[in-house]
Amino acid sequence: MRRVFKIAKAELFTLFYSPIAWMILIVFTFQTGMAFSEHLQEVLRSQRIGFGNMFITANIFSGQMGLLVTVQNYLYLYMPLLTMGLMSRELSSGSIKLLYSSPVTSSQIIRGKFLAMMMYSLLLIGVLLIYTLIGVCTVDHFDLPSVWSGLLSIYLLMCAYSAIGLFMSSLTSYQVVAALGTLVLLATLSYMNKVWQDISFVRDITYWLSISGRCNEMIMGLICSEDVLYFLIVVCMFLTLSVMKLQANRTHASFSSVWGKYSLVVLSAMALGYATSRPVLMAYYDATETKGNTLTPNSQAIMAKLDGGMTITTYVNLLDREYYNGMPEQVNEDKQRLKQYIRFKPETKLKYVYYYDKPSNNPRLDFIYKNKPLAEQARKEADLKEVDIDMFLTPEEIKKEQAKKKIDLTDEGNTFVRLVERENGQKAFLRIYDDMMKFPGEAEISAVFKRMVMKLPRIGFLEGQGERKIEGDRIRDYTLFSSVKTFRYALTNQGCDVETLDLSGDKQVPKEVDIIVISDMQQLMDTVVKKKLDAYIANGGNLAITLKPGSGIMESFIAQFGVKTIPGQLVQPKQDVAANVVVCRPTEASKTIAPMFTDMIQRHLYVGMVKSAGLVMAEDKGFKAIPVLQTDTMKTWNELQTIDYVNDSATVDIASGEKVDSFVTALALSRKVGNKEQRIMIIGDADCISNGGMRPPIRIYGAANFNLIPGMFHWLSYGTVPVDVSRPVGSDNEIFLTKESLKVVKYGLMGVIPGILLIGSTILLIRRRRK
Amino acid sequence: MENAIVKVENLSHRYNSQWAVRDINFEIHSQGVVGLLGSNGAGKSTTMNIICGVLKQTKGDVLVNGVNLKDDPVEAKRNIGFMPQKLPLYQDFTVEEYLTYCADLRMVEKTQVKKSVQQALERCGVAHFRERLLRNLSGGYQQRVGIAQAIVHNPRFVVLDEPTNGLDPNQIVEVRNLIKEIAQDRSVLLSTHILTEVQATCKEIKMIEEGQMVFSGTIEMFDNYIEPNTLIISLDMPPANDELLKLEGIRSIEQVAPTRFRLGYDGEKKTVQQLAEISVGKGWGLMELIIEKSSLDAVFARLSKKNNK
Repeated sequence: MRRVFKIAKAELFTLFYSPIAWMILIVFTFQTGMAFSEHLQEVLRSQRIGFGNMFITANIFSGQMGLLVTVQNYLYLYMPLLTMGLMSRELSSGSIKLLYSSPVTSSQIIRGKFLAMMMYSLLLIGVLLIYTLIGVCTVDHFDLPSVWSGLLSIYLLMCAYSAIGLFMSSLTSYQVVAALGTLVLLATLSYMNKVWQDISFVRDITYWLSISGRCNEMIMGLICSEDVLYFLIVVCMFLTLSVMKLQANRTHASFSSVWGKYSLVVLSAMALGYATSRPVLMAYYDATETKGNTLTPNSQAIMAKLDGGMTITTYVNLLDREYYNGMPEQVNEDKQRLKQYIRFKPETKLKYVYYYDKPSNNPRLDFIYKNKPLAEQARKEADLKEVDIDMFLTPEEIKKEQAKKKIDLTDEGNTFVRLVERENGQKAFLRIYDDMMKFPGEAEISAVFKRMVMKLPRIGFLEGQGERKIEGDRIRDYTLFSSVKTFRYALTNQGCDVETLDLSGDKQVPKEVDIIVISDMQQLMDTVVKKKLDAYIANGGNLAITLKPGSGIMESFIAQFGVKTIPGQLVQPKQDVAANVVVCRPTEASKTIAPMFTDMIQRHLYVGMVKSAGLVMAEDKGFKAIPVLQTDTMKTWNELQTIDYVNDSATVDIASGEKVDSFVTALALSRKVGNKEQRIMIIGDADCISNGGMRPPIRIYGAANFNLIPGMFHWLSYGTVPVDVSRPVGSDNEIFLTKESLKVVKYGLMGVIPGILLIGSTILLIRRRRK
Repeated sequence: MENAIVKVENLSHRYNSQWAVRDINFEIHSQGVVGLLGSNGAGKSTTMNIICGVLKQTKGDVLVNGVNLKDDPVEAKRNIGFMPQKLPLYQDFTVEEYLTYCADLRMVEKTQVKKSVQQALERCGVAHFRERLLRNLSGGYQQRVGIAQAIVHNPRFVVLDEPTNGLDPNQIVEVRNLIKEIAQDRSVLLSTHILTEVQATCKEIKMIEEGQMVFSGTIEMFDNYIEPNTLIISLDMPPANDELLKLEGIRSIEQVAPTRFRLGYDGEKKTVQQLAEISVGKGWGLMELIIEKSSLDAVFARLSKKNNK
């Protein structure tokens, strides 16, 4: 070990007796110092504006362009310059003979050289530690463990780059060739996740080999055994190759035996890599304060209940607009989307089925292949997309498959969909949605799983009195949030069963119905319906009631709960927007109802209502009332006159009974009925969750009407759905810096430290040169 | 027989398909300088590289101090010092730093490192330059540092590959003296093209040609390798050439100068004695009688040629 250490020491001296190590240190310090100061500046600016900050540690170190991400992206430029000389210099100057003729083994030489790079890398990490220290001193509740995880990954990356550079350096006596070779090898390794992705099995190995983005998860604070082992395996592989190269230099063995040995090492490394990247063998540790990289405890609890085998089959339709996401070359990327779930159920099998059939979401096809048979469309599309048509099942074949599995893909629009199947025969579809995120998030996936482990609420939408419907696409209806499969927040995608409830004649309220939605009835219920509904209410059944101002029918219906509407409609004059558009924000009390409201408050989200009614408790009917939504702090009153909100401006007329106030627009009522708590939610604007009203005509940032739906049904279903996947907010939300002190930090990091290094190294090198 | 310091057995080495050395055998038993001769490409450097562990032989064994280089290279190399033709110097190090590093590599006891370095510095006469950067040293001194690194760990066996290459005549003399000095208490294998160097420093010679050992012996044996069987005789009053030819054992005659002849003879001592006696007896005025030896150059040329045949 002493000789390894001595070789390392000599290498470090060589590096520092030449300008290269110093220059890299100085440039690295300057570049990272600049990036760090800029992040500090952004955070401070945001704080000074009053916008506030959340997760400051993550913003600075691991955010999208966080410091460690920047380092990860630029590191490949630094390391080859350091490693290029490691062996090349010895080979070209002949000093290798000194090592060869000394009592040291090839392995000791390589270990010594690598140790030198490990130590130099530590120096670079030391620079990053300065920033960490500044973070610890200036950020309230700095999330140190997550930064440790990031630093560890950067260090491992440096080691991997060093091992690769060392190997390239041992191949040639030209330093520049070694540096370029390293760059090429690194580029190749980064590109590996795109190589042979269309060949199953091989794709797992090439995907594993890829070094690009390897640190991402650890920088985010999630330490995964696969990543750590990846670096260790890569380091060991390249060190072994380097040792073998040194030995081969001495033996002049035959080409085939040398390459045979190299291949053996690479293949064993790959086999090891393949094994360590199997979900069953992976271990995780989430270092973040809020465990932000891990499923929420609620989702974890669901996963824990999913015993027995499980298969997730993804059906990919060639003619679907979204076909690309499931194509073989995308499979590994696609699997990443389920990684967090696989983490808690590693034995899950993932399968892909390819077929073609008429999709519901691709009008382009009808346009270009007018009246052409499907088979021809598919053939042409396959040709255009450069895929093999034979890998896709024909409509007939996929029909057989569906019949066998007892599923109906046509009902899913023949679009990209996953079928989750449990060993016990349970099945559910996991869809993708028509929005920016496209893929299901934790809430949606957990809902699908939750449905398998417990009975989830059935929601009946009362019909027959002119209520809003849950099918069709009229603006006033409730299709979108209830049953549209392509809408993420639709109840059907959040774990609920929705159905139309017709109580006419001798039809009864089904026993399994947990919540009844009564929306803006236009006609009075006949006595038959009323009797059944009254019985349901008396039994403690839960209700969601929506209404519009001035509706006598609804007014009389809610009177039984002691609630009344304030006469007139709410107005809130704003520039550019009609005055009867009202901004309603979740109340402080709403936090006790559902975590979704807490989230809305934190994110400054609100519900925009057009022509809404204020709600008040007029009478005590045994219900406890909690205001859920309340009009914004802007001047709001109940406008009693009918005015043209587009052309006229509304004014307060106190004499006529108008009153300026903050009005409650959604109310949560509850009472005990037997062993059960009955829950009733009343919303003062039936339109705010309708197909057309979900996006209110408002220009103030933050309208998020659909957030009301998960919140409302979460409470009505006693927290079962939608699954609460809200996460705690980190406590690192404040930075103790002023504009002036930041300047000092900035000049220190970008000027003083690199300056001292520059002057110090120059003096040292000049003095040495003169010896 | 005492243990050989170096023993080379059936050494063969092949670069790709071509044999560079083939079945070389020799032993070095005692202290002193052994010259390794051979023309360019003869296999000298290959042999030395193998002995020093820089190359791994294809076949055969090298034992240093009884330890097989193949079996325990680390132990074997503790007793080897090697100065390759291209000096293995770290140009950015000072002399002392460099030698300290070498001592560490060669497993000198931690506590002895300083002392060993000091000794090597002094022995090689570079102590006053200990703080100098190697890149700032002249060629002669760099050569000395090269030798110093080879002896810093006090090995029993030192290999020097053309140590006087590129030096001026004064430096050559200094370095040769240095080599002789360090050979006093160890074996030195010296490779060179310069035959005068061999003459000046070596007590033994090994010669390799085309990968094979063509000569191994003392410098005298080398000198006499070609027995020319000629003698030079100077006679004040020489007789007629025929008369000389008639003498027993004399085979040819060549008049080099009016009074100086080169006589070919049968190589018998008796013939030379007789010639002297007759010259004196007949009053030819014997001035000089020298038995000619072949020059090293000639031997070298002959050995190389012989092998080329």
